[in-house]
Amino acid sequence: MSETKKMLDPDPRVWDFETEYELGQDNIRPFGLDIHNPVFVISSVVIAGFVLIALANQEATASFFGWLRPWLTSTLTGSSSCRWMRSPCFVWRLSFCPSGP
Amino acid sequence: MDAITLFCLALIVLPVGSVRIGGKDAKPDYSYAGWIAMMFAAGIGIGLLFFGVLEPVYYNFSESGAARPLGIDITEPGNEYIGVVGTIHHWGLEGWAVYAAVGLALAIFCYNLGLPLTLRSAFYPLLGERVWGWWGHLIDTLAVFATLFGLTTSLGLGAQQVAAGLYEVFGIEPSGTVVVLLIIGITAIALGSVLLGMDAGVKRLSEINMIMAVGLFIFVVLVTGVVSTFTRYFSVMVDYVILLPALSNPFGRDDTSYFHGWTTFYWAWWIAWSPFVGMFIARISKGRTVREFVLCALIAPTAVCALWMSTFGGAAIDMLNAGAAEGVKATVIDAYKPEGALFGFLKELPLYSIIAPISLVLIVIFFVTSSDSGSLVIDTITAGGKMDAPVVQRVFWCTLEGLVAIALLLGGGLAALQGAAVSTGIPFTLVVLLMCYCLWLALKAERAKM
Repeated sequence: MSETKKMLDPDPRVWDFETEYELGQDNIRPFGLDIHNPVFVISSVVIAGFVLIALANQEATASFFGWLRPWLTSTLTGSSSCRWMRSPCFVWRLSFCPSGP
Repeated sequence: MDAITLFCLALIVLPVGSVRIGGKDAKPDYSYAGWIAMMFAAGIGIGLLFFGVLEPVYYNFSESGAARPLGIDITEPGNEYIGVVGTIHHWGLEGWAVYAAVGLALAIFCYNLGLPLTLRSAFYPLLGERVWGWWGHLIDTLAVFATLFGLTTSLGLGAQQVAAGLYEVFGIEPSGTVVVLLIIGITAIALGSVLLGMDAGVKRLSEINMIMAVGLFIFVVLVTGVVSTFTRYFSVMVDYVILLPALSNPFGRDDTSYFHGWTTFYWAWWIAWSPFVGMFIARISKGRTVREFVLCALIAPTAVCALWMSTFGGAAIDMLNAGAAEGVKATVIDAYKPEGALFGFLKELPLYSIIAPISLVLIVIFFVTSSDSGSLVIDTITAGGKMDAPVVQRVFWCTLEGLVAIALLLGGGLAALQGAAVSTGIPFTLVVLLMCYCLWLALKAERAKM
């Protein structure tokens, strides 16, 4: 019973989802578009730049990705997995801790 | 992946499972059939067709057995389909759990809490008003990169497979130029779908796709044996459940070719796809309860993927064990030409001249639905959560997806495609884990309101 009460009586911070943010308030509208300023601009410029660089340097791109994929997948196993596994464990513990957030 | 899977399974049985997306009076926008078809088509894309034959056969027979899951010996009785079990592991619960967690978080924060339908909204409990500042910009930008590169990996694989299919059906020799022209052509079809809108475009295509995929599946079942298909299915599902803890364990693994070469890539790829599929299924899931959502997004697709993989992959293994399936042997075992595996398998079946073109069309439609849905999602994120942004923005993102796929295919092919997906998927892992925590807080709050 006390456990149930704890779950239903959490930190008031949990309930505070009120925000004054309005949908699209940071958007800009050039040429009839409706885009989020930093996210659209950064994403599109970086991706367009990537396309240009990759097309201009195909051999270097091939060599880079040929190295990157095995390096990332092998680095993510073994001892480094321990570091990665700590995050899910931490989140899991936080989520179900009876005195939880 | 394990933590996310357990979290989703817990949501099915916990009281928060009764929370309804959109509030207690919300009604679903789509029928069950349409909803599940869209979810499945968006979530799987070309993967079933590309890997259905390739993966089980590769694990069983390639690299002289070095790629077998957990190093299990296939000559032992009962182990002949271990390649299928290893494949189901990659297309099963853990992958779909990532989609379910991200999709549910976005749906709850958007439809129940009135925040914009964008990744940053799910972090409101942690970041508060800072979520509208640079922290939020960072999360959304990461989501755009993950979505775009995860998606272009699939588009690149699809284009290669269509090129292989064109060779089989029309004798057109595959080449870089053919693949580039295919990406341009199919992206143009996707643009048409984008311009038609959600209901007339992607929804209708997803339904056509499902009908064709089911038709192909039934055909393969009928010609390879109904009883053997379902016997094999239940057998591999039992093995999957038994081996799941060992397959999910990242520590002390000796099967490095399977684990490093495939599993780690798959997890990064699923995570890279999660903003895309999560946002898409969030958008179409209003009116469903959390329990309904998780069950349909987790259990049903896992069961269907497993059925597909065990049917196609299992039948190919049977053929190889019987000394047949030269086409599969040539493309998977003798030389690694993964895009040709499906057609190598279909060649062994009757009515190849009819089934091969149908499969080709099916791959193209999967390509189009993935590209269309992906553009919709990226557009929503880069429009600050607005779902009615001008259509020209979706056209821009759809075109950019095609260009990235071309750039990656010309600059390294399959390795570049996979490298791009892994490099964007990995940083996004932390985002997904934190999102689960925020979702839990939101669900507790919603449950208490009931």
